Amino acid sequence: MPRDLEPQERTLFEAFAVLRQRVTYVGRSFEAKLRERLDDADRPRVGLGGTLGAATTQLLNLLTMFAHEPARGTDSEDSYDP
Amino acid sequence: MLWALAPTAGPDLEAWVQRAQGGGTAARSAFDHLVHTESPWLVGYLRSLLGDEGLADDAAQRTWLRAYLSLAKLQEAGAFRGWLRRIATRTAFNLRRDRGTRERYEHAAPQVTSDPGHGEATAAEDAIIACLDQLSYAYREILVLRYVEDLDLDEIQTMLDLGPSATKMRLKRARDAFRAIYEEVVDAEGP
Repeated sequence: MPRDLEPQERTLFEAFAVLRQRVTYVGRSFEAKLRERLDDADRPRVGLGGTLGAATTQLLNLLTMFAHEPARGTDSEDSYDP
Repeated sequence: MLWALAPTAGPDLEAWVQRAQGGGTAARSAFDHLVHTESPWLVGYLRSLLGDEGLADDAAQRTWLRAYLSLAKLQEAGAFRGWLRRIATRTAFNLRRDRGTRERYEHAAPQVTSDPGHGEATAAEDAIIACLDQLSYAYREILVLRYVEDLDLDEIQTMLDLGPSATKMRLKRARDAFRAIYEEVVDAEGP
């Protein structure tokens, strides 16, 4: 009971007893799921440098790919009209 | 399944918290132990607060995760339960505010259930929950903190970041609103 409970609160406090005494069950799946999330949090993360490095590599790969592909619209193949 | 009522916070709990604040696998095992022993009351609190099992379980998971990541910052191991409750209260508030999440759970998850078997207690409990469901979240929150979690006014004001008079005023209004709804529910059910 709160130490500073006032007399006018007593009835309500007693009515809420059913919630205070309620038995809450937590399934094992709750703990299993949480354990997975905690394991994830424990795993070392790739830092910002690593993420940026990976993004830069991907961008370079894309640029290289497009550099070898003829630009559309300007190439003779696209503008050729027999 | 785990047993539910919160054990009294004491030196044993404090020792586990200190162990969890250490390092390595021993700390992680100690934290797992805390999850095992403290989850029933935490989930029970969140279910009273949110009125929805799925949402409450999600809030409890997020609370534990946040606690895990910031446990080192907790200076007094003895204050663990209050600290955890504070994280849970904020997490619940934020989760509740996210309407999208709430609606998703409302369609997917069953409403709060409890131990089946104590018929009369369940009827009384259902009546109270039905009334809480009709209140605004701010009123529900303060009633749960006061009459379910047994907190003093100064603890509530710290928890909710309110001044002393605002806390008293909100509690009084919440009480009045609850009583009005409760009378309607009891009248509707008849003798």
